[in-house]
Amino acid sequence: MSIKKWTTTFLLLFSFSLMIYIYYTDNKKPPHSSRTVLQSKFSSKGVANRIIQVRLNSDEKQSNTEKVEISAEVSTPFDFTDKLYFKWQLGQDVILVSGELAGEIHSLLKNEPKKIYLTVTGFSKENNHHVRFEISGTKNGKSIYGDALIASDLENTFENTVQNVEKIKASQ
Amino acid sequence: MILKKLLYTILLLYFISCEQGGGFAPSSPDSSVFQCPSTVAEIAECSATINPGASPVTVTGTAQFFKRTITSQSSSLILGAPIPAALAIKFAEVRVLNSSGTVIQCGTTSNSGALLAVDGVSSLQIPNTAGAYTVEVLSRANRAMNVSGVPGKPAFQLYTSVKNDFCKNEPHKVSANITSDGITASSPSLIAYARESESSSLIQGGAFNIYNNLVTTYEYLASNTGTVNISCLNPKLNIYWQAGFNPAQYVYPNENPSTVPNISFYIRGQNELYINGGKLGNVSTADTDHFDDAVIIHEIGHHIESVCGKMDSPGGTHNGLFRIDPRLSWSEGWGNYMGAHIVQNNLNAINPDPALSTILGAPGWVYYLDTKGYKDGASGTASEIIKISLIRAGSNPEIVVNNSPFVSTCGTEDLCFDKVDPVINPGEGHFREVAIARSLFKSTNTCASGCTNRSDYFDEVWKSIDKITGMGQSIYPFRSSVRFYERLHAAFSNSTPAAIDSILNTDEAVQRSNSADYTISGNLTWPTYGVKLVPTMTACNLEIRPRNEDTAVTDVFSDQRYSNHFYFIDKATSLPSVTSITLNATKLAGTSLDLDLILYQEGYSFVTDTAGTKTTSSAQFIKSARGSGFVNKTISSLDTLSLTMPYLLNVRAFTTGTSVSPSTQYTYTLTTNNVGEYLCPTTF
Repeated sequence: MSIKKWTTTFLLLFSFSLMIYIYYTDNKKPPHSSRTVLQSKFSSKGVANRIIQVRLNSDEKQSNTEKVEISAEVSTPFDFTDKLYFKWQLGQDVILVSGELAGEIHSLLKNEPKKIYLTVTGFSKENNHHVRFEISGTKNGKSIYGDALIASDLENTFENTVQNVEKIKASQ
Repeated sequence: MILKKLLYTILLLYFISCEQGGGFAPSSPDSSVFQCPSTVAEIAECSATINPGASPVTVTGTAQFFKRTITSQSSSLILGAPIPAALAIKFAEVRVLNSSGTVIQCGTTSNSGALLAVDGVSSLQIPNTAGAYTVEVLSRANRAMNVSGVPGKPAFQLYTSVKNDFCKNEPHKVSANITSDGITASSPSLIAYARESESSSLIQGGAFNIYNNLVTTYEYLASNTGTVNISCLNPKLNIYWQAGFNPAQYVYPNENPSTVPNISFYIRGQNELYINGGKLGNVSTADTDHFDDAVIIHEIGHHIESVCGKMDSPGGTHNGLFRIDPRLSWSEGWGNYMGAHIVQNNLNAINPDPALSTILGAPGWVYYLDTKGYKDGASGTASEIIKISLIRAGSNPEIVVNNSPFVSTCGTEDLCFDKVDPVINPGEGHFREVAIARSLFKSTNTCASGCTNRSDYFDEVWKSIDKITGMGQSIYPFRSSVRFYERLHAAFSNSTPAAIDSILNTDEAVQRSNSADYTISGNLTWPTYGVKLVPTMTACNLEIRPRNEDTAVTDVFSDQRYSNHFYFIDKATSLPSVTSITLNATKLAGTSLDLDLILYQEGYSFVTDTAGTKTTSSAQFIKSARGSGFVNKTISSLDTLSLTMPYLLNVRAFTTGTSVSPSTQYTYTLTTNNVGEYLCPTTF
């Protein structure tokens, strides 16, 4: 990770953490007008949208018949002591082998991320398939939420082109 | 086009007009500049008839597209299977290529999708050379719209291209191969499909649906803006969309695309619209917008406001839950309204599915709707991200978080979309985008109760926003709904229909500037946002009633409706000899607070205070007087101000870090360096 990228990431995380700290310790609102913090838009999840961080990971497989384990690492920058409800959504042709498609975790503490696992088939570079993960909870009438979507063939997505444009340019 | 500049513009401006999901604003605009591996110019328009020679062969055929319909899932509306009958691709560019790939004829599609010559009337003809040809219909048009139904209306242009991305600049298209024996040619049926399985995952139906939304909107405007000249729509609108791609990735190229929220957005000044196509190739469970007509037309509404009116939105957070900057609430409210209104009044052109009409029932389409994924038989997983009915009462809007189980009305404990109270909080609707959207929709549509039942009032709405007679004129800086409703009043020859007045005054709390509701015991408690100050020799009765910080009401510190007053300073024409302005206040009741002066200029971002700390310095402040107390607050050296720049004087009560009594009231005066001279709001 470059220093520039690290700095950007740090600033984002720092701002984000500060916002949550202010929100939950001061019983005041986050400084939404700042352009360095979470922007809430229309959402059925309420105003405290997407403050749970979700990281999805899986091994790369070449064949749809191979089993692949997908992990969802969830974390928050504050102690959330109520229940959180998660659910997986499997894209077309992705088949569950083991794990629960929906469930709950009883708390999620700051600096103590948790991992939830699922094993599937049909998730390989043979075709681009998808798995989605969502998690949400409510505390004192405020909803918190996180989601992410993982693709089995990232290299063929346009997002990958955008991300790697400098490499692509250099190779030309 | 300079792409670096473009992306910089995106980073700066996308907030003003992006919809749905959530998102992180970038930490700095210099770290995320996307550049193309290579840039390809858009292919030349095929816009002139090529002489086919003697005894030409006529090509007939039609171009159509499928889109996913809206269906119900429990109480939600979601995307379902494709509509049962395809819709016509109207007025789109047609190209006929020979087997060498050379364009040998140009044409256009008709209102019904028929392939015709460029003039839109004659047959499409090709040379009488036998062989194989390809017919293409592009998601692109550059042609005059039909205004013949409105005698005297000047012509205007439909000029747009729906392209895959701004590097390749390829318009989407459908194509078919035909053969000619030199006398007759086979008749192609060109169809853009909505399912991945029918379109090699390209879902061209999405591109043509976006295109159709624009065509339908323009057709509606052609017929519903009277004889007004709407050639302001003539400049080309570039629309970028790609199935499975989240355009937010342009804004955050260094972020993990799996967690970048999906957005659609419009770039003011560049005439560019980006529509969310999904994420990482996913369209079946991800948030997409290519079939969310209300979202697409919301963004088109931003374009219309930008090119035919004037867009003053500063951007920033908006979620339909709080009082926000009135320039932002107006712009987003207008977009929400357009998204629902155009669909409601053009359902056959946008989604003629009979099953949808059955689901909608008598009110028809009354929603701003944003969906995620789709449910098509066993395929996909769909959900409703947001649905807002624009015919609900301001006192009983949709519930976001229901803290009163088993009760369907919005109670005091519930979190609802812009619940307003025109009696307790007159004028607060001007600070709430959903209240503005509801007021516009109910003023121009039919519903069981609370609407005017007069869709023909849209003519007056247009005259109120455009640059000719509306608030798009340069004489009206700091545009908001309060300016809009004043211009609407003028459009109705200063006699607003009673049914509209009822919506404004007793339903949505968007009372006009001269409402008696703003004057209490002889004091003006809410000077209209952006009203001009003029010098007088007598004091005027101005009163501010600051409110306690309330996280359920505003999302920034300092309630812009109650704890702030905002005045337009027109230095050149109203205050040429003024070099300083002084605020002196008198506490009538309640909590002792600082009352301050802040001077902004046009295009400002409202600077909030923070918890218990007053913001005393900001690049947004042209001048400020933010010491302690509420007397002798002076901003000076006003002779250095530009004579052409509109300024906004903000009288601000510093309300954070203390408990503000509900009874808090201050009267105040604004005086100048000229002895005995006061500044007072003039007629709005």
